[in-house]
Amino acid sequence: MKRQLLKPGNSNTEDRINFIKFWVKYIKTHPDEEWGEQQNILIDSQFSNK
Amino acid sequence: MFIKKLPIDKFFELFKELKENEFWCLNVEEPDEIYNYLMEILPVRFARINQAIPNFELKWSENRIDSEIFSDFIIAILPEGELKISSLERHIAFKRYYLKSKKDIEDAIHVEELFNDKLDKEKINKLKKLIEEL
Repeated sequence: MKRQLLKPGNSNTEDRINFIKFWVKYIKTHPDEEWGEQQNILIDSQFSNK
Repeated sequence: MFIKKLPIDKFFELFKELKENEFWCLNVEEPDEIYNYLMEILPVRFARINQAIPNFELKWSENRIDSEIFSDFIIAILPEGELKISSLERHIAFKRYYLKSKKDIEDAIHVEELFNDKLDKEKINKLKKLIEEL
């Protein structure tokens, strides 16, 4: 399967929007366990900072 | 993450090191294409192999505000090692007056609240003026 790639944005806003689109495609094309585990790293790191 | 503009051979060395440490570029696969993006002042992102998040964004410093980061930084001590990050005042000013999205302003407020008594407010104001002149 061809690896899905992220289009860089010309501005911070465009870059963030592009990343959201990339991430949506990613979660649609990868098993729940795979993307869920990655998302947990971010969420857990936020809790550990509280 | 801002880095000083590198000649292509030095960038290839950096890319090789990232690859050896199991990072991949989310934007393009070939290092010369990554370099082209950077030369167009576009940000690129790297993540661990087989992951998309967490990731870090890499960008050339392109103006005075960006370049000053290299001499106005603090060292964050992490369990994994030390990390140079921009001063808190620069962090706040950049988010509050340059990026300005709702999330960035919330981030700036969070840092202001957390480090209130340690911040140089005059420095934030000076940085604000510099940002407004960009």
